[in-house]
Amino acid sequence: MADHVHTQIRTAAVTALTGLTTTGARCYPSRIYDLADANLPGLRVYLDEESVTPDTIHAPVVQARRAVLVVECCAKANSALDATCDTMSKEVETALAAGLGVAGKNIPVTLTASRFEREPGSTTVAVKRLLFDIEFFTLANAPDLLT
Amino acid sequence: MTAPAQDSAISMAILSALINSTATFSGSTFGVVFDNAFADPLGMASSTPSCLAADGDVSGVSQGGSLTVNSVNYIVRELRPDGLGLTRLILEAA
Repeated sequence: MADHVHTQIRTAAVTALTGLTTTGARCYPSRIYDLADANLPGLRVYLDEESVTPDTIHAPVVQARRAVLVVECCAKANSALDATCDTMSKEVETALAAGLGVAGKNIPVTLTASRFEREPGSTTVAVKRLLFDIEFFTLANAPDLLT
Repeated sequence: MTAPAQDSAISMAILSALINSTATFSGSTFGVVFDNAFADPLGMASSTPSCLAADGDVSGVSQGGSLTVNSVNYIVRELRPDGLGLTRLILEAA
């Protein structure tokens, strides 16, 4: 049995976002621990909320899924911090523009919102959080397969 | 001694007892209580340097000015006087 499609999507996103000019290999899926200086500038990637709608009546039900893929552009600097986050955002948006290839299918990825946060400190930190809408279908009894 | 004067005297006594670092501003040197605790704003490891000083020692310091603490250069980002003779300086690495 393959991984849950969420895992496959997240893995595909990390693959697409690894090696970008500004962040290189510093792309972290589902990271819960602090990013140290060596991890910055970096990207945190995770799937957030998802809505699931039954698309058929008979079992196994086809599920229309809409999930939010979050990419956080994280940086730390005392100058040009906004511009650095914007550059990271540009690279991420460009990398995901063609969608994600998952198990031989293409999942469209649509940017729906972004939010910028910064906090002071010895060195100022900032996160530009990009929210992407992704839509896909699975069968209720096979959440590891895209239909 | 008036109440405000008493408060100020107490603040100065406490400051004197707690001074742990030397700061330099515009050629003059004075004692401060320096703190640089770990912090993790927005999930990134960082620290929050600040120092507590007597109002009189930092009267010439302004936002954006330079301050050296323990031979490390900082930019003063905020000045927070407590109204009792002490000012906390919020610092950023220069």
